[in-house]
Amino acid sequence: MIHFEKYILSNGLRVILHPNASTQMGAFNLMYDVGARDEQPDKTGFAHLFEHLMFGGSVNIPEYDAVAQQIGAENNAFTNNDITNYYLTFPANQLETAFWLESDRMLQLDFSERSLEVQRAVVIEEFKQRYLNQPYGDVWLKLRPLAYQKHPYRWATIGKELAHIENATLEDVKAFFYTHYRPDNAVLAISGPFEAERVFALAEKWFGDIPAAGRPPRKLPVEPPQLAQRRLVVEAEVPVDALYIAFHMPAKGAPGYYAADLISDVLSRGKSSRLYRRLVKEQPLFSQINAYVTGDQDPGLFVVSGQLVRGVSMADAEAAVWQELQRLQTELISEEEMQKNLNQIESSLIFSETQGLNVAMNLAYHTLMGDTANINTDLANYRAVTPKILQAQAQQILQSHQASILEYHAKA
Amino acid sequence: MQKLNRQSAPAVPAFAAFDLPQAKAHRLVHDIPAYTLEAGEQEVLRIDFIIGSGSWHQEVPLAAALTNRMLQEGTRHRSGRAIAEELDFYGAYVQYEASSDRSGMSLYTLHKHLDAVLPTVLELLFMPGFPLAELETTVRNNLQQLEVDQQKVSSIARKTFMQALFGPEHPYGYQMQAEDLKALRPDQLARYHKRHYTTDNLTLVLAGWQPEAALSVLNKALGQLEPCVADKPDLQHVVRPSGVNTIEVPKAGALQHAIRIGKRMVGKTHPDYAGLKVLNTLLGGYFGSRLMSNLREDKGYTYGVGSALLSYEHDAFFTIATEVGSDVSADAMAQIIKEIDLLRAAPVPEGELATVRAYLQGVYMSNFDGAFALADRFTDIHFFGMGYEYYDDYIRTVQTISPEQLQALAVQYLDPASLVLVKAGS
Repeated sequence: MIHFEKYILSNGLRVILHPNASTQMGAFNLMYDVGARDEQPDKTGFAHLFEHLMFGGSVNIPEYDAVAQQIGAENNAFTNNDITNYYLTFPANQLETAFWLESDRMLQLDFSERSLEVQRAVVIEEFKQRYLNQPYGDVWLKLRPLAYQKHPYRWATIGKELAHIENATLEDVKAFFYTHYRPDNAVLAISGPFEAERVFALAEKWFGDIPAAGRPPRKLPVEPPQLAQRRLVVEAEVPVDALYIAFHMPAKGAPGYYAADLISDVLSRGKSSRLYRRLVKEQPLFSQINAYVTGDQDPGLFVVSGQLVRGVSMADAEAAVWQELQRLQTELISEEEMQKNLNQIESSLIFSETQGLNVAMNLAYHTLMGDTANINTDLANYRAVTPKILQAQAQQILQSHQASILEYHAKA
Repeated sequence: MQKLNRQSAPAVPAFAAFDLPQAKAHRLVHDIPAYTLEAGEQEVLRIDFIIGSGSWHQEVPLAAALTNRMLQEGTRHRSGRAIAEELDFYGAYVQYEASSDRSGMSLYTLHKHLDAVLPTVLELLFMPGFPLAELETTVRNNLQQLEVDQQKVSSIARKTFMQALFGPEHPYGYQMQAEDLKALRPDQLARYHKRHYTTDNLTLVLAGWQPEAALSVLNKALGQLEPCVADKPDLQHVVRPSGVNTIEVPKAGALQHAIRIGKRMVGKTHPDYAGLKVLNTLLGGYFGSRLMSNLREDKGYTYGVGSALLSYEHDAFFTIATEVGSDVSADAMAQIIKEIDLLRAAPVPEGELATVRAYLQGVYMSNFDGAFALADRFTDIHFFGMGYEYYDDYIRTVQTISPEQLQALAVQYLDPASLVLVKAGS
């Protein structure tokens, strides 16, 4: 049970505190409701490039990182398809400087050509390092446009291509900032040995005078139901073949989401999971295999991915995966297997609560999704899934005509 | 209402000194040492089962690593599957680790399931079966993973660098070879296990919620075992550096060059180590470091560059690592050497040093935050034969080392002529 207190500023900024007297460290998490899905199709990769620019200085603070380091803070940020998230951890007595840092760059970023030029180059190297110069690194660049035809999830956070990043202008940067980086579009969550009264007063002091933007609600294209199976076959300089199968599934927190997530656990969480036991150990078809959900705010993907054992044919490997997916639809899962997966979820939830930054991030996320209190109902939501519900959800999601299949072959 | 002053930082309080929570020492049955660290509000527990042997003590290549890896693949009484079912059922998680100096496993469990999982964990640790079929599967999957790794310029550069520093036969320089992996037999693993996974070679570290309450459970379970004595061979490992200072490894089709630059260095027990940690931070140990400012924030050559000083029990090394665009790699290497030369040529400005002092003090505090961090800090000194005064000395050095002392360290330890330079790419 995570205790929290909540306060909303008149400009719309939502502030959440998890008081925790057992630590000497503070965690400060500022989450903006903007991600790669908010980009234009011809300007992809922009939300993430913008995240880099947020470290290029703000109106009163020329060097964000220098100040963060001077208070002994460790800080970073990440962007995904839904959100952009900034966070710091620091000795608790430095809380107010965290407010100064984050409020100044929400107030007004220092828009400079020089910063844009350098960060474009850095992001291009990131693109190469993480996506192009790694074995299997470009899988999501190929799988997304296969699984999505309309919804902006069809491009990856890093962007569709290097050219989109190379072409970003300072005008784009400014427009993006004033549209999305406003208090009514953000959630601030803090954890540490702090009192609510002080934290909320500091929030008023530092964020209170930043004007709201009133961003119009999102109108993203809805992904039409997939009616026929899609398959992409590629060859690359990799040592062994790999297989990726993606299915459409409900948005995070929507009806059916928890059942789908549990199905992925049944398939591949832990050494006793079905895919590992049957397709790695009993029949040596894969050297590694995983099932997971993307957990997006709009309907996302349920993915099975694995690397084949050399000499195994793609067709045999794929058939074995389908057999396991079929089994979930025809046979009810036992109470014991259900209980095992619920116990694993309980354990990992409690372990995740030992980290103050994790707690702050989860509070921000649930708040952004609509209800902070949901942080305490996750486990109950999983426990509400019965074997019958699980089976029905497997039947709903894991259908052949809804699959997008990427065959990733090693060049002979 | 007074207008808010946003121009200057809120008054910055000084670093608040704090008492380091220290491990409590206990002796269990068979004279097994156990240490407890209590912190946190969640009812969780981590128990590290640490065996005081690693690849340093092996006579067959990879015996230490594969013995450790195979613990989870079945015991003399039960299959790997049956054991995985049981641990998974209780939401317990076991992490296996074998390094050059030590081996072992860490159990992560909810406190309420400790009684249920502990006998199984001890069975894993002390009664492995090393089934042949499971070994073959493991070896095959490791071989494939090795091939994937060999496609990454960062892996190629790292392995080449470590071999060049210590020699390919030395435990700190050895890199997994396919033929060594294929040659392993179950009896070699069983032999390594019998000689090293013994009650007198075991240390326990318990961290989390009410760890002392777990001691009686541990005592009971450990009491079921026959005490056994380790048979550690007296192996002499001679460092045989390659003697070549510049190594280029071609990798066709790579879009980036991976760079490793560094050398052997004095280790954790040496009086200069703490000062070198500060020097390393200035050069490449944090986001505002000279290397990061130059290569990333000024030139946009890389997504990231960093340096590190790492100490094993018998040796230590310093390394700079980055991946850069292939077209700029020559200048990137020149810039790295230029930054090292600058640290040798002039004392660091006070302002820059003040930032590093503040940053390291914050990191220091966060390194003692939470039970698992406390356990890691204990392990970091315990196996080096050091006490908590190591940390007092370290933080005093961070707070007081002078620009001149740092320059002297750079002059003494970072002579560019003494560095090994590795580049992998096309």
